[in-house]
Amino acid sequence: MQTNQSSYGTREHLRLILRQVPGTVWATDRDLRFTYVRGQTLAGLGKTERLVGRTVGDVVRSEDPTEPAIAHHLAALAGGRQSFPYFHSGQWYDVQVEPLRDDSGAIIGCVGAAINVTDRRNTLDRLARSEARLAEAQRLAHVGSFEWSADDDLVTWSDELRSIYGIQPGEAGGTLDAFLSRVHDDDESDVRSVMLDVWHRPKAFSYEHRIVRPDGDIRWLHTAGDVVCNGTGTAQRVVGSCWDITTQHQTMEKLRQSVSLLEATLDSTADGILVVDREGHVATYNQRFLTLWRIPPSLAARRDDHALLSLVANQLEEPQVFLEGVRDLYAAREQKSLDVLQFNDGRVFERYSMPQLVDGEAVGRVWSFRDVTQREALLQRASFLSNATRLLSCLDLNKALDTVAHLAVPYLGESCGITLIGDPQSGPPTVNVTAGEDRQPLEIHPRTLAGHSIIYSRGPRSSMAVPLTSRNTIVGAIITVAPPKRRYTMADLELLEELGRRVALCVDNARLYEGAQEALKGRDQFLSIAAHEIRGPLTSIHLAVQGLLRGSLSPAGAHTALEVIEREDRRLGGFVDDLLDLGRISTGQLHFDLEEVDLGTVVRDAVSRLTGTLAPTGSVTITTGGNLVGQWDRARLDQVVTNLVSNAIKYGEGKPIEITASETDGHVVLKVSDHGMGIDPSMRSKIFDAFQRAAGAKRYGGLGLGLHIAKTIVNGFGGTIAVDGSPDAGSTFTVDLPVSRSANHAQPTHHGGG
Amino acid sequence: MHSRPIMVVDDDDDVRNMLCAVLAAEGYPVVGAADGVEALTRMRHDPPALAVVDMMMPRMDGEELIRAMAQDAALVRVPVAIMSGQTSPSTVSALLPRVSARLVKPFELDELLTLVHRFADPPARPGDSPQFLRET
Repeated sequence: MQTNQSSYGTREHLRLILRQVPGTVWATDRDLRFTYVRGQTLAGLGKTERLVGRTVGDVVRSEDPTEPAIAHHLAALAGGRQSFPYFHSGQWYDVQVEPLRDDSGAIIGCVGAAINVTDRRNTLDRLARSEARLAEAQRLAHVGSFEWSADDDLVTWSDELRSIYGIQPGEAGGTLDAFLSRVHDDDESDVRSVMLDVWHRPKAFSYEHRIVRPDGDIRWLHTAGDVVCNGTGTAQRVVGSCWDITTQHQTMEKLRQSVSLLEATLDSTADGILVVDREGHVATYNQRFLTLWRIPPSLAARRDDHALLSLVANQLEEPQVFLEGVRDLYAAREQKSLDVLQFNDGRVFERYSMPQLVDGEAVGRVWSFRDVTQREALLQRASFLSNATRLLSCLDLNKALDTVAHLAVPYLGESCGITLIGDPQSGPPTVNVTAGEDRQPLEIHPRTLAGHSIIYSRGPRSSMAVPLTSRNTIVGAIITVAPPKRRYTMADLELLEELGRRVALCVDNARLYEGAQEALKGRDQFLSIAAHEIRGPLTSIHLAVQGLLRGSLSPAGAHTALEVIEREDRRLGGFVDDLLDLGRISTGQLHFDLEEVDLGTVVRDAVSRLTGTLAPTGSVTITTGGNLVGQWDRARLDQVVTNLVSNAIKYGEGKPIEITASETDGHVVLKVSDHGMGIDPSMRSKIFDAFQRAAGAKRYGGLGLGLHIAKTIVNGFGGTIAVDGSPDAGSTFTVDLPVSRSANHAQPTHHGGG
Repeated sequence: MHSRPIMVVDDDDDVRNMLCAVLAAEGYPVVGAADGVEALTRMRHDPPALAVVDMMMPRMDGEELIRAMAQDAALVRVPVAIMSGQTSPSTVSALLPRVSARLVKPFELDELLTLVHRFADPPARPGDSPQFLRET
């Protein structure tokens, strides 16, 4: 190239300019020898000016015409404009090579320019890698993203977003409408208004909405995003990330339902529930818990655990024990417990406690409380009645009643008394037991004696009394007195009545047993008496027969023997008849053959028959008057008369006997009086019982059945028999008989001499 | 020699009469009494060789009679045989020192005769001089 002074200035100017160019320019000749190089140093090629004179091939160290730099230069020499990237010594260049033409247009070489685009390329690489990583991250996390610019209404979708929406690349519409069309109808307007709102008032946002995938599947998405603004705060684009929260949403839904169910359960259960954390701080509780423990809502709201615990403990009988127990349970995290809590006011709670476990670890404790006061009261009541019944099974009446009265203290009251009234005629109560504070016997309220269960005041104390009824008769009462401050209720009275029924049953049993024992004793006594009485006749008969068989008896003796045999034989026969009569009476088979009988005749016959046995100084006076004829069984009437007269003889001590028979108003009255040992007034009714004998039963022989049979016969005739007199002054037996039963005005038979 | 009688004490007439008859038939002199009082009176008058006593009698029963006899110097040595059906063993053993034998009614005639033979003076021959005293 020609150089001269003016072109030097131009070159210099050009050099300055070229030095500013972020690149390198060169020219080559047709041999690809650099003729001119200016600009930035090309990496690994040394100072640019030094390249002049060297060929492209030198520079790239290759003679291969296919080597890209050489190839492009050759192509440029051939007339084509070249634009290509070139990598050399770790740097990237964008290269342009053009043919260099002279003025005639002939190609005389090349002109080239290279710009180092390494940074830009790296940046682009990084960007590409970033984008790839982002896409990968989005794919792995299933997070999709979008950008929307309102200015050109363009929405760009990330691959993952499309995947979430279930659409293929190309299916996603680019407009906001298209974007929103995939949003569930119910949520579309909300999403749209958010988008428009943040465009106009740029801020970060997030929302949840449903989308409808092409296959109809509805998914829940969470979108979070922000607005990119330019320097003046004008929105340029909205960027957002979305992820599918359908599963979480469902889980949340289930959780919400669970919580709702749990809350409903907690509130509907009859138990009070309290949940505390590991340190004992209140986590949650239900309304019933507050009600049970009478915790004011204000205290509960304060969440003051200490105050709460105090309020609770102070209601109990043993607050210290309770508090210690609570501490122990907090210390023993895994432990369950079941306890009973006794309150000062008498309530009883059951408390169940167990740890709250999450993945096997105790994170807190659940307490559940149940008011079992009523249940306990019922159990106690049942237990009391059961114990009472057991004690009442004892046949020793005094002992049974005494133990029951003691059992009732203090459960039923401070004092308890059981009284059995005896026969009102014979005086004081037969049994009277008292247990408890009151040492004196508790008198029975008149209303109770009249048959009423009552609650009443005994001075300052509440008291209740229940009659004891056995076979429609009031046989006594049971009374309790409450301690100070307790007032009896209907429930208490009902319990006492229940106890009273059982006590009455016990009394009944004891009396029946006593009666049975008495009867057995009487029977045993009778049997021994009968056996004894029979020995007499047997002894006589035995001696008589053996004496006769021996043959040594004198004629008088033999005669005696035969008389004895006959007499004793009859006596034995009499015993048998008495026993048979007794049998008939007890089985109700005593029959009468009624006929017209004159009582006077019967009396005289009986007396004359019996007179042979009279003691020497004795005498019998018979006085009869009136019409003594009636409808009776002759033999049985005779039996009665004979029995009375022989008794008079037996017990008359030889003194005179008077017999009178008279008639009044359809009745005959027979009186047999003796002046012998008499009968004790207390025995007057008893002597008509079977096996009963008057004083000194051992000494007088006989079976003791005569009067009993006589009375049965007399009653059978519709009449009455009674005795009066006094000890040592003798007895008078009076028999009153209706002349005939049909003419008889109803005569009630009653015990004790009728 | 005066033969001491056998005393028979029983309130049952037939038993007493039969005892007297069979003993008399064996030749023993016999006296009867209907109760303890009568027996004591007769015994004091004529102490018997043996008293055959029924336990159950009015006015004074067998037990009381035996005790009374024990108090009486004249009667303390009189052997006593008791007739019983029902006397309790305790009563019997209480009286034991004074009771020489026990007959349980109804007893065999041989039993009675063996007993009497042991204690009583030998009898006159039957029919010789009956000293059978019938109780009035």
